[in-house]
Amino acid sequence: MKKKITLLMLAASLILSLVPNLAFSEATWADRRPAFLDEWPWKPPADYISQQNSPDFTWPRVPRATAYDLIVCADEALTDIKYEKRGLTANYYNFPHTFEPGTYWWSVRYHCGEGISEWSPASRFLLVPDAYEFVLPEMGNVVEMIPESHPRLVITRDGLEEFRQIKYTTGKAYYENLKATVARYMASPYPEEPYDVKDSDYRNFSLAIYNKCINGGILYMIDGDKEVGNWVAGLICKVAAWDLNGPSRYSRNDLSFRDILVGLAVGFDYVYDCFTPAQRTAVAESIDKRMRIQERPSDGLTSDVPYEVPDNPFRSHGFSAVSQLLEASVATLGDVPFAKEFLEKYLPIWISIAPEWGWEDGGWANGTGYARWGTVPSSSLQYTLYKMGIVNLGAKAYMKNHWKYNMYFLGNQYGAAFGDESSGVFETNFATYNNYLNKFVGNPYARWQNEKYSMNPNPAFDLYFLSSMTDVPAKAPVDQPRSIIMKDIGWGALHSDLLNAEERISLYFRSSRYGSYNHSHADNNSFTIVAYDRELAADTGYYDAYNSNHYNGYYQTSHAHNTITFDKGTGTQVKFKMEETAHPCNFLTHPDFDLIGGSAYDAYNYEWTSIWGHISENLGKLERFERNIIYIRPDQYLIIDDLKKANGKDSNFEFWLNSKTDLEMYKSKDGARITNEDAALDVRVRYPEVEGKYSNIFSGPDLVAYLPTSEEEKNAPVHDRVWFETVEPRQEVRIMTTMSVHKTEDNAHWVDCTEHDGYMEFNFTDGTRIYANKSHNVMECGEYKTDAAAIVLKKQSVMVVDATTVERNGEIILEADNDISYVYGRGELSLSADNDAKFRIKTDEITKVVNERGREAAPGKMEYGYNWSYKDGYFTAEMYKGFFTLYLNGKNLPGIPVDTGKFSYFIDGNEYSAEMNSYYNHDEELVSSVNLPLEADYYVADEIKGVAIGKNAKTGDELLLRGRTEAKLTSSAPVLKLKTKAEGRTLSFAKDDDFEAVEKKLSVKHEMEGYSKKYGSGAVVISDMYSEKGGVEGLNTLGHSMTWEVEVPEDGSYNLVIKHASWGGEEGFVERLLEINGTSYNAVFAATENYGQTASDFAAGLSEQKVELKKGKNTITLYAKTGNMKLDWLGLLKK
Amino acid sequence: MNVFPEFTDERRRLMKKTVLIILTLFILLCFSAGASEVIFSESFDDKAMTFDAYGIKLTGGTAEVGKVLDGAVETSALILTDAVAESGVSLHKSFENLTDVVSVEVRFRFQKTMGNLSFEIGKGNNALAKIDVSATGQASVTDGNIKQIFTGAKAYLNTWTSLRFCWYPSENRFDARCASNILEDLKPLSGYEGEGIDYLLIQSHAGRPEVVIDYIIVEEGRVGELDADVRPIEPKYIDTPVFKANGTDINICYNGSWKFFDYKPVIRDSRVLLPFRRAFEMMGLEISYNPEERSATGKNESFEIKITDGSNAATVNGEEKLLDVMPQIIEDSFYVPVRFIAQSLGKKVDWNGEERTVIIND
Repeated sequence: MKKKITLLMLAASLILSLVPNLAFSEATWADRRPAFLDEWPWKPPADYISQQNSPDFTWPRVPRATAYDLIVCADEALTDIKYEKRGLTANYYNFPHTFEPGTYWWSVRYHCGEGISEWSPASRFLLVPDAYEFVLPEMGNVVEMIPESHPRLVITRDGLEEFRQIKYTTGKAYYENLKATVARYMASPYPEEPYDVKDSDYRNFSLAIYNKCINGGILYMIDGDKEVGNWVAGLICKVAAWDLNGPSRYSRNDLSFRDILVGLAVGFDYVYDCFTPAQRTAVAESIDKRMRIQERPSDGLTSDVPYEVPDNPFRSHGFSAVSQLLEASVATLGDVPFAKEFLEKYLPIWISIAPEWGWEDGGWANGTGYARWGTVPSSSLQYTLYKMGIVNLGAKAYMKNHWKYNMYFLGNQYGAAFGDESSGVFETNFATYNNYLNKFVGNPYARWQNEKYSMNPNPAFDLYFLSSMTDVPAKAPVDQPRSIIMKDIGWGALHSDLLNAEERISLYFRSSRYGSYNHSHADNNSFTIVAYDRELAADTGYYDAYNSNHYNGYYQTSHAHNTITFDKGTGTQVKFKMEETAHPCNFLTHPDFDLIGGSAYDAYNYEWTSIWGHISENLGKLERFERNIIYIRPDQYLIIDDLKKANGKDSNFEFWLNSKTDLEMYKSKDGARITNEDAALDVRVRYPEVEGKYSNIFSGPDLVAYLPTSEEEKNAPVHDRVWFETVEPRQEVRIMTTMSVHKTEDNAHWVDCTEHDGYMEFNFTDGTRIYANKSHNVMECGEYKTDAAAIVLKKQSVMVVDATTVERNGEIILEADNDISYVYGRGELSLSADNDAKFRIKTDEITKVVNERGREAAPGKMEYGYNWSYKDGYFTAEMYKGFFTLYLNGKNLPGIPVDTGKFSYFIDGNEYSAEMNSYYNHDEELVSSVNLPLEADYYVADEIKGVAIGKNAKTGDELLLRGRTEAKLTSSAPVLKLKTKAEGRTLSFAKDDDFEAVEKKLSVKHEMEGYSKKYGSGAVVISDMYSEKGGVEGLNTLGHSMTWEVEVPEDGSYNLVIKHASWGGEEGFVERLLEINGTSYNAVFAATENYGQTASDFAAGLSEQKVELKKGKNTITLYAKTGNMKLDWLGLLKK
Repeated sequence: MNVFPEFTDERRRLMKKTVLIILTLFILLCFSAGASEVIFSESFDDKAMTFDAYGIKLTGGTAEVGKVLDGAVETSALILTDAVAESGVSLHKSFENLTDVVSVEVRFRFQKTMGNLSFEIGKGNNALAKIDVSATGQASVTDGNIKQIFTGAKAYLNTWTSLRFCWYPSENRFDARCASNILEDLKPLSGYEGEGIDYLLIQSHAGRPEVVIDYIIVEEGRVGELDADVRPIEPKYIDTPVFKANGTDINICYNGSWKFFDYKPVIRDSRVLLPFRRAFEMMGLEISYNPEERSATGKNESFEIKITDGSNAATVNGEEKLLDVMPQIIEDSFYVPVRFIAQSLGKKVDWNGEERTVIIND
């Protein structure tokens, strides 16, 4: 009997072993615990082209899994395993070595109580030869790599001496400011528990504690002043002792709780040696408790918190809390028991997935508004890990590419405005991060952007974090494409010019897997347009508060964005889970035309039932929604919205256009014009027949308005919108809309539009002609016969959108097994496909192909995603899904330097010369510029010809130039003669500390607070230390000025006297431009001893030279130049 | 009311006359009246509030236009408050007795959670229809004696909501809408005798109300002219753009359609030349080009023309013709004289010198 049983078991096991996975087939990937909102993504996603060697691998976490096996194979059948890691305990992994570039398929399975699961479906990725090398060493015991000594965050004990030198060198001004700031802190008593602090003021209260800990700590590290260190330690001890259930409890405000926790922990590291052992123990106990609460709170915000992150990393508060708690853990390891536990649990997760809102393409999906706050904080942890030799995250593709997000999606006043509180303006936080990218990652474009926008990074960050690292010289992105698609976040930007944000025309587009999740909106397949630095087609509404009525009923909805809805406003659902519901499906860029497209139908197919509730099953509303935007450079567009309802139902579709400024509708009700100052946009639906509707309230078609309610926004202007509703209900339709950007004073470009059987013909004034297909059938248009969505023609360039076949006069132009899009002409071929495709395109002979990064793609190899050959007049290729730009037959990439010699220019009559920087741009025009090493000063243009400098200054104009200045040379014989406004005239002001004695001798005294006009930051301050209790402070920003009208009793020569406190200039002097009755002088003041904290800090500055004044009113203007000044009065001495 | 603001007075008079004739014909044909008549329409613009001016009777509470409420200034809304009493506020708008189809629309919002708010229409002391909005924003209408809930709409706090009744006396029924949610075929309240409508009453029932009324519109018409549907908001209209010549480029208008060229039209010897491919294609000809001869041929079923670079002789249907301007290659594109080709095809060609436009018509 026993034998029989054994034989049976043997037979059974033999059969089972012959059928792979059958024995364990009960565990499947489909039956992993359903995700609450979302789960870890499959990375690399299917058919991905990876720029990181080796790539990050992540997959959904299965709660009951005890281990995972990961394999990377050379074949889809998963038989030829090239790399593997078995027995992983986490659902993410980075191999500790690079891969051979090439095509791979990867798969993972999990172990659990029921056995081993099936392998996940083989998922292909291509690793390109020019991928960024990133190797994550086996982490081993990370905790042991953290030094025991303090400080250890960013600056370690070994680097402390070097760091201290900054107060004598680059950080002198910062150090002096910091010292003044901390002195101010120390002059006030420590804060009390915030029983009396209102909720509305509480975040500022907690941030003040954070700042005091950090700034005090940094100052202590720089100069080792024990008085400062002890003061910070005392503050930390006091705050650490606060009741954790009191007014600073977690449930009152999770962000404030975090501010205090991080302030305590980081400050603890900085002033570690200022605590007594007993104090250290007490503080460490408090930090330990606070960290445990922050990780897994029981009251207040309990869902978006760190302990949820292992299941779902897409937690905006939770993930950023992980980041900051890791920093706190590094700071307190050895004293705080929970720090070790936290590091071991969360550091590998953070390394693997940070930032959670982007990936290899460097984007930040949660909007430019949150990128501004979200990108900078994680850098200190990154840098610390790098300095400790744990991992260099700067080598990741995300970090290498992140500069593009700032460059392409931010503008001078407006950029990509997708997501909460987003405007896309380039501001200080971005400059700070750009500086980090420049120094830490070595990116030259990031520095150029900072210089271009004259935006300085936060000095504390710059000096503290990066003091030992050098700048990489700035480089203008002249060699970069003008347009971009970020496939991971699904954002695109089409720019007429990447270099000049003030004059360019930009269209931003979004079709994103991140959907309307978290701080993103229900705006898939939507666009915005910014032109000449004005917002035209806009995202409207206000971010009054997360989950407010206005937020949920309007701001986040499709009605507030320029996308498509159907049947009276049915749009993408808000608060939508992240899934592959929308993605960019087309992208081409070329000197004549660009194309960007997204597929978003599935984003309409679900319904959200309540906030943080669940999402219904696929309701099958839409079967197709592909939006393609054809960009006819530089200022016209054709949008084709390809729509199909599901289940054979007919619908009316609506095309939405939102504006924050004037919006007027054409009388024909098929178009509208948006006007914003000098910029305008005309939009007209050409097919099919539509009827425009309008609302000037925050509403959808039901005209129910959701008003913002916050103090800032409830009286703010209401925005307008129109939606063009298709008149005839249909199951499917292609809506075709033209858009023209123009100056308000000019007419919109005329587009001649003719309807033919099966297609529409568009004739643009620049000669571009588009045949756009009304259906998915073959259209016969002019010489062409094709199933394309559109064909675009201009001179020798042709663009084809989504086609498998194109014939011209019977000759095959394109033949493909799947839809592809391409643009060919002027030595470039740009290719786009949403699925793998094999195709041939009729072209001139092609012998050499170079990609947009300048790497040659040899024929017959799939190494860059397209295996090409040239045969019988056709470019023939097998291509992976993706977007590719090819430079053909040795055509130069734009931006390659051309030697054009030196440029001579004159300042105050002296001749100087500078090397010209010349290159051929995307339109093959020679572009020349010079970088003039000018002093920051006020200038007058003596003669300008063929030079664009400042705001296109002309001869006779005044210019404010802020140091090194780029000038464009627009003619072959450019002339530039500048003179400084002072033209060498100087007034030197000696210092007399006995200002009271000087005051008694004055013929005239004029209080500085009695100014007649001002420009910029100078402000009257009331204080007892000033004469008449009033003075002027803050007039320190280059370009800002104040003017006084001074009454003089008689004509004559006078010495000018200014009572001031001044500091922060160079070599003990502070400079201003002083203009007296139209004559300018360079005014040089001997600096005072300190910063004007008390009356005795001031001195009288006496001009050594006399100035001529007239009887009566005299106009005196002071323009800021270098250093800082506080001003009390201005006087005149006759003798 | 000026219904033709964009026209001159003379044209307006003519238009009015025409419209009147058409209307009369329409009336004769349909035995039907014209458009609905607005009995009362007030959007409470920023002006001195007099109840006489509005014909409104306020009972309890206060009403002001443009009052500051919790920091928000409403310069074109009527604000009803009763900050002291608990009895609330009533606004009674009476009008002439209307016996045809009548619609009454009110757009409002409430600023704070308050007691119930009701909107009532009727005649004399008899209510015909009533919409109630509860403190939670839930709206209901009474059908006979039974409350019907607007399940598809709520009157949210701080959010504009529009209510609209439409009464059809001949059918003894009404429709009611809250926001975009319409309930149809409702019966009048019991007790209503059914001889018209002459008042609207807005009334709060408890608490201290803060109600903002954006507008009230009462209209009378006939069946088919009025309903309870959402009223559109009118935008500012501008003329639909038309093509305007810029005075420098040469334009081609072909059968009323403007044609543009990637290789621009040029003038040589006072004649306009066009790139042959687009020119032939525009005129419906099949195109071929012989690079060796540098000749272009265009043909259809009954016509064939051949033109050669540098030759002033063209072949039209096999016959040689003399050109008054030489065809030529300009910037790698072969240009041909447009007038000659169009006229050879029997088309009429005109030149508008002021607008530099060639006009071609079949």
